[in-house]
Amino acid sequence: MIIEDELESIFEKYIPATPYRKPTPETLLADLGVDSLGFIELIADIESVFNLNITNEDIDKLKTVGDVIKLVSGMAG
Amino acid sequence: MSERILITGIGFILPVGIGKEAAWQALINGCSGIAPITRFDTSAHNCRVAGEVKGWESNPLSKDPSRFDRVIQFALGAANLAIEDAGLTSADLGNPRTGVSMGTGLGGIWFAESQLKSLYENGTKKVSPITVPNVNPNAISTQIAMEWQCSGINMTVCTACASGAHAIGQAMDAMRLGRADIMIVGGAEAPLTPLSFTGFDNMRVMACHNGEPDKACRPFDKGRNGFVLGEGAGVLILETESRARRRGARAYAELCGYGASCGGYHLVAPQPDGRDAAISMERALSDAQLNKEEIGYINAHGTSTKANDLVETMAVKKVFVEKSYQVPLSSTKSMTGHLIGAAGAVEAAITALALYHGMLPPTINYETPDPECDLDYVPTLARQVHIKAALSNSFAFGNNNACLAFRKAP
Repeated sequence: MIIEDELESIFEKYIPATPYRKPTPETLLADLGVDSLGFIELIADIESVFNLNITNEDIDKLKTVGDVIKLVSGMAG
Repeated sequence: MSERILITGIGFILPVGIGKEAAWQALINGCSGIAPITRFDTSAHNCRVAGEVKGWESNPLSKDPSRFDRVIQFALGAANLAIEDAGLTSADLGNPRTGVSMGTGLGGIWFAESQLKSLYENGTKKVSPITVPNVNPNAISTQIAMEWQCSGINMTVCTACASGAHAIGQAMDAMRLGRADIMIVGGAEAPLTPLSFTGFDNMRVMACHNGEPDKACRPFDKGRNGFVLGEGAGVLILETESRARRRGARAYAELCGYGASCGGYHLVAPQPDGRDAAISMERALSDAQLNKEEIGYINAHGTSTKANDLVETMAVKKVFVEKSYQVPLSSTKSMTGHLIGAAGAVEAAITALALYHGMLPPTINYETPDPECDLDYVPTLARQVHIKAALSNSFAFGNNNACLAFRKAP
């Protein structure tokens, strides 16, 4: 749960505040309301917080919030 | 004959107040926005005072304020205020006939500083992916266009202390050529960062009256010993007369002339006889088809440095000759501090308000006359006047000069 909580607070930083829509694992990354640059910031934040190295190939495979949780859990777990 | 260009909206985020009304009231009441710096430690600096923006923490761009440099937040915040003041909506602005022209001297320097620190202390992984779009000076005009979907001309001018004035002049020229009906124009600056402040401090160009912050900036006074940095933004809405009339908009003034010149003399010092500064004023008068006899006020560059105030006085004398002593000029930097790339825009807006209200804001802290600066600097108290036209001077580092001319709104 700790990983998911940490990820949620990172996502929260980039998702537009109004109206804030809490993401679920099924939420498509394309529907977060985060632009491409914001998404790259989000990934950099994740790398920094979890001390990971996420490659462009990893990023290309991410479609949903759940994919991100799975990737980070796998790498950090 | 091109259309007249009217100023129909004004937005300020200034050390003396947020919003047009609060800032104007402070200025005509001679209130200083200068105080000891709170943002970072200045105990080792010669100058320890500045005009910080207070009571404005609104961050329109993100839940995390550190994602966007303060200069971008100031620019967008002041633009939003100006648009609201003009009574315009996104339906008016979201089209290719609306443009944005902004000025800034240092752009996102805080962001550059903080990322540089992070790079050297924590390594490459800790550098933000949005460093470049934050540090790029044009982030300020872009963010305004993104917010309001303005798809016309978009530019950011970077000519140090004249940036805001040049941005307005260039926008006016574009409108005269029929390239836009509305231009959101202005300047923003957030120079109160350790690196930029220390750079100015080590250049020994800032005031050292630390014991009396509100008296630190004293343009044209014999005891002046440097400028005082300020932060914030000023944004104006320029609108063609026909468009403004159609919607029954209130106009503060007509923007009618622009003169630019460069001394080509020194990175920071003004040309000693002020001839290049005088050329910019002459050009603005000629562009506006105004006689010097019609000018009832000059908003001076008036930085409070020994050199600027002396040379500006000489330049005014070159242009106005025997009439020099009859033209009141004041330096509102005495209250706002020097907003570098935003200064020209802030002061253009103040000049427009002076014409609108028939009231000249004073030069505060002008207490001991300097025999070499002997013009009418509107000392201490605001002055009610009937004036038809006015100038606003901006003389930057690098001898980048810009002068804007205004008429009372028709």
